[in-house]
Amino acid sequence: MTSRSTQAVAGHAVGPASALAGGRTPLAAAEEPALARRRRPAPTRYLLWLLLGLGSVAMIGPFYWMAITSLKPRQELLAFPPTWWPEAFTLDHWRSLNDLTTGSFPVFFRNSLFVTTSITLLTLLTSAAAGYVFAKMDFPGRDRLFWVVLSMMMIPFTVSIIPSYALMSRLGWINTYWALIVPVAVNPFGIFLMRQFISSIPSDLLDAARIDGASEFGIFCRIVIPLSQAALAALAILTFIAQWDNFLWPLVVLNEPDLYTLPLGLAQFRGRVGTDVGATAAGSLVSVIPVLVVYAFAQRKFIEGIALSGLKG
Amino acid sequence: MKERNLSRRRMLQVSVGGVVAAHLALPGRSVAAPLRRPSRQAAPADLAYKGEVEFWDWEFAARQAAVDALIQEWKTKHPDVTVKTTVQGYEDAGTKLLTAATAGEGPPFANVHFNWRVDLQRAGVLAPYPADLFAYDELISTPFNRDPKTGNIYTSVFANYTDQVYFHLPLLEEQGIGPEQIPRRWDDFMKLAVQLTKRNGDRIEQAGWTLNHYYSREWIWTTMVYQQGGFLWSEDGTQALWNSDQGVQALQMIQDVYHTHKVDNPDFLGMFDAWGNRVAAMYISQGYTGSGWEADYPEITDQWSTAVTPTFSGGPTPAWGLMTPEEGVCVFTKAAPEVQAVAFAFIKDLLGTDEQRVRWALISNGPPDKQALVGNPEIVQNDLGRSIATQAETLPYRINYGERPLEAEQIWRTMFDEVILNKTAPKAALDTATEQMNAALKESGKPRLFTERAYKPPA
Repeated sequence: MTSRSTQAVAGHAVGPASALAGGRTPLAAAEEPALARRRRPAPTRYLLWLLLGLGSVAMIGPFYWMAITSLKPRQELLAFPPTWWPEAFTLDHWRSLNDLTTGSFPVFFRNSLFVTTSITLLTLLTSAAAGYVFAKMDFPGRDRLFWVVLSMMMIPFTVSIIPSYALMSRLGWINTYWALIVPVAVNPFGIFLMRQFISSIPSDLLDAARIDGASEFGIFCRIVIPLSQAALAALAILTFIAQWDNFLWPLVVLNEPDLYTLPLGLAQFRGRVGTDVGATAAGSLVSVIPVLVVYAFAQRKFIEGIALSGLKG
Repeated sequence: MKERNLSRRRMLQVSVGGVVAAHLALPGRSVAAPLRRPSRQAAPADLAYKGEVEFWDWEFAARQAAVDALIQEWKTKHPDVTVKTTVQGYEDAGTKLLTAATAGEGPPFANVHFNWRVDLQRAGVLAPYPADLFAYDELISTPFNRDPKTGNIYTSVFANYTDQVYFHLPLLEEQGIGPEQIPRRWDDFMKLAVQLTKRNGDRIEQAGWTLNHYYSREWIWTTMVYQQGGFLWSEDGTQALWNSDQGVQALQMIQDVYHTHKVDNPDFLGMFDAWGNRVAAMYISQGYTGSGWEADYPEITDQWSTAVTPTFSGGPTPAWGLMTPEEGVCVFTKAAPEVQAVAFAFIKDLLGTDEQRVRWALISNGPPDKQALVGNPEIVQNDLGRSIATQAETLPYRINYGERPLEAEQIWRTMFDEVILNKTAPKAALDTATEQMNAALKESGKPRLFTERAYKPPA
């Protein structure tokens, strides 16, 4: 409660007419110690801040370590005890990003951006459409079909990698973007997430739209999609992060360095008898930037979306 | 460096490897793609095929440069055929190749590591080499590469590797020790390692002998078993003999490195990082490891040399230890016969001439596969750290075990962690490991291509 509301409860008027010299009423002066105690955080709050601070250090620490590692000279990288601030700075590792034996870092970045964005957009589209169908349309076998979709979430990717590769090869898609994008454009988890969220949209709203003459596609585009922004944002974040870091499938289907994505590019820093730790750190920092940017824009909706899958069922 | 847990990437690769092994384990073919019957055509003079042929390899800059140079020469001789290479890191190349081959797809030919080759050979996806492509009887690897059932050969190697002692010349000179003073007996070698170790309390500052590398531990253990006259597998190939007296003694020695002699610490740097940064005086590993130093740690060029791996007796018999061929070029049956012909023709140019074999020996840092070339003057004059000569000295007394079951690695990793990190008694660790491997052998039911019994020491 504010001081004004407190005073209103106490039945005292507050305003310029009651102000004394110095701008305070006697009551206000009497209540000041109590107010000061209320403004001072409780001890438990300090503890909370401490825990959150430690958590922040734990979260930010690896990024900091990655950043300074990318700037340390090679001899210092393996120094023991480790140095938390470089004794000498070097940009050699950053320069080596442009000096790869195979391919080029800007090309890897561009490829990753294109592939990941394409997959994310397709996933949003297919998941929203399928989620809408499962949530709001009634047809024979709907629930069974939904359980089949859910069960696909239980199948590890490595189990299907060989038949998927064979399929891509027979389609002539090996070493193309098609092989990277199409097999993962439909995501069972995304369908599940959207179905759960769209279930919460009142059906009366959709019925009203139908009465007004809207087509199903129009209802989907003009009502369902706008109302599903939170879930779509969450799904976009999760899909983007997963696909941005995807290493195994691009490794298997891509042969041409000009098509490599960032994870494949970073793998080049593993040498015959050692890893170029500094270059890996520099490359990893570059690769993390788009993820941070996407997350920064959608974090509020992301947190809402994480809560969604626990609330509906 | 601790190797307690597999990284997530490694877990995925092991999972894929397990799935692939499961696919390949089924009798006959387990993939839908129809197989072409292996053909035993003669090496052709003219090539009927025109177009592009892919060759997959794993990353090693010097080898890629040499292959690229050969491809340019090849183009002048065969303008209608282009050989194109695809390169990945070693483990990634294995994942990629095994996935593609199991799916019945992939390149016409590739550099296939011996760890992967046997399963592919057993699954029938490799084409046998033409009988007249090379003079196989002149090659060191032939007795170990011949399929015991069919007599076919499915691979040809760039070089043969044995383990050897690598040592930093300046760090030994600090102690007044010269290269010729590296001991030839294990007990003396361990004393030297202790002398070369620098500690600060419990913390290692310089490892006398660094063994923080899984594969080096595995090779050293195997080498020690063979040096004592033991074997890893029963004669019929159905049982592991790891918990023999020889196996136990070998594993005890490895445990003693860390907990008795304390010449290394599991929490210290990984073997290659320690060596490259000159905080390890010695390491023992296969010859190919030496070929990477100039590229990855150029500051230690000309600062190191090699010596033969010690033995228990100080002499070469009953055996000097393990020999691994590592790389080998294989052709896949999924390729059309005319494409296979291109692959074999390229392999003949790649590995068939004495000039090429000498070149590969220098690039790979291992003795050439042709015994007669071991003393070639070009090798002798350009032998970095006398690495090739050191390996060649022991090569006649080396055993190639042939197949290395995929299941063995995880079991061995756990075994080494138990004795090194948890200080479990070697006998107990080996009993457990042996039991697990025997269960895996029985469950798979695959006929194994072990070749260790083919070893015959020189007269």
